[in-house]
Amino acid sequence: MPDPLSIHGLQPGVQAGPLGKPGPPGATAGLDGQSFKDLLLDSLDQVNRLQQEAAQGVQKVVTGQTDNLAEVFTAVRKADVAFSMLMEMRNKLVEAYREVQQMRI
Amino acid sequence: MFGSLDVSTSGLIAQRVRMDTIAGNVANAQATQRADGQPGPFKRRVAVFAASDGEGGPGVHVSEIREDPSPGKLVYEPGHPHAIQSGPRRGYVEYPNVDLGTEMVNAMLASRAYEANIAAIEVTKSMMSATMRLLA
Amino acid sequence: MYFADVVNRGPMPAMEKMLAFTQARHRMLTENIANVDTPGYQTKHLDARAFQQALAEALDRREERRTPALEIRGSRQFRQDRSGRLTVTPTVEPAENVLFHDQTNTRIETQMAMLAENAMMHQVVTELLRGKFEELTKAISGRVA
Repeated sequence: MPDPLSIHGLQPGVQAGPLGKPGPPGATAGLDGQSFKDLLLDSLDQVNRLQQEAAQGVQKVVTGQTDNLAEVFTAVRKADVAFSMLMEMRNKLVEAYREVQQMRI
Repeated sequence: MFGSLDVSTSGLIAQRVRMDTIAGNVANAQATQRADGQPGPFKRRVAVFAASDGEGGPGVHVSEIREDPSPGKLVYEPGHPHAIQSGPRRGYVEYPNVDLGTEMVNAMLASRAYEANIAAIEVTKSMMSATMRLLA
Repeated sequence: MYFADVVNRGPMPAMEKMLAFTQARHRMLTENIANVDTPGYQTKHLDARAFQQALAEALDRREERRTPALEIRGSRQFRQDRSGRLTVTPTVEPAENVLFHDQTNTRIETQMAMLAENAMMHQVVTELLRGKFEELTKAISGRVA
């Protein structure tokens, strides 16, 4: 029987609709009209960008190109926070997936 | 904030050069003959400061050590080996234009400025420690 | 812009701007102190009160307009570019006090006092910012300890 939440695979064109029903292609759910998948990919992008900024900042400090320690350290911390958030999201998703798998219907 | 350390360090160096100059003036206050062999007494030297660290960065540096050309005291000592031999000032010895009072005051000013730069370095260090706690 | 929102809402952006200001002001003050005996040197100034006021106004504006970003009204001394970064430029102001015989107008005592005050402000804001990050980390991990 079809997997209720359609998390399995996140196939293109099939988006997770409101709870319980696989929505038709084009239906959206979640924040600001974004699908959940888009949200995840967007988050990955952002985390990546923050980490790149932090790495560039650190390089500039080490090579003496910048004096602005507060800015670089803040960027490093932001990247850390973003990454932790992403990890927690992943953990929760995996947890939810496992729970769903174990459901006896 | 490393730049601030450089700036304060340039201040320390400049003030130390100034102190060295003053020390040289005081040491030579009675020298009636120049070190380079030219005629005349030792002339007081002044360290001239200029903004920037001498290499285009911020801070301060000594742009030159200038001789003060003003005339020194003339004392009538005809037997002195460095007495003037001819002319209207015959028999006089020209002493260096070093006034100990002035040199003392300048030394105090240089010392005060030196201390101020040291204090500035300490402040820079604590700011940097505080900023590093952002990472912790 | 989910992650960016977490760190760009609330007091954090204002604190970051303040740190940019205090760092630039610190550097300027050390330059003034190094040049206290440089003939002809004009003391540089950065008006801390004016900056704090501009920050307060920007915070109010963000509140009213409900825009996510903090927009500081620029002045001769500080300007925010499109990406939000703050650039701080000290200005040379005419001496409101006596010019000394070597054409300088720095009173070393004032500079030292401002240096200490500025450093304290920097340290306070840094600690506050660090606290915010700790809060976020704890919230994410779900554990208090």
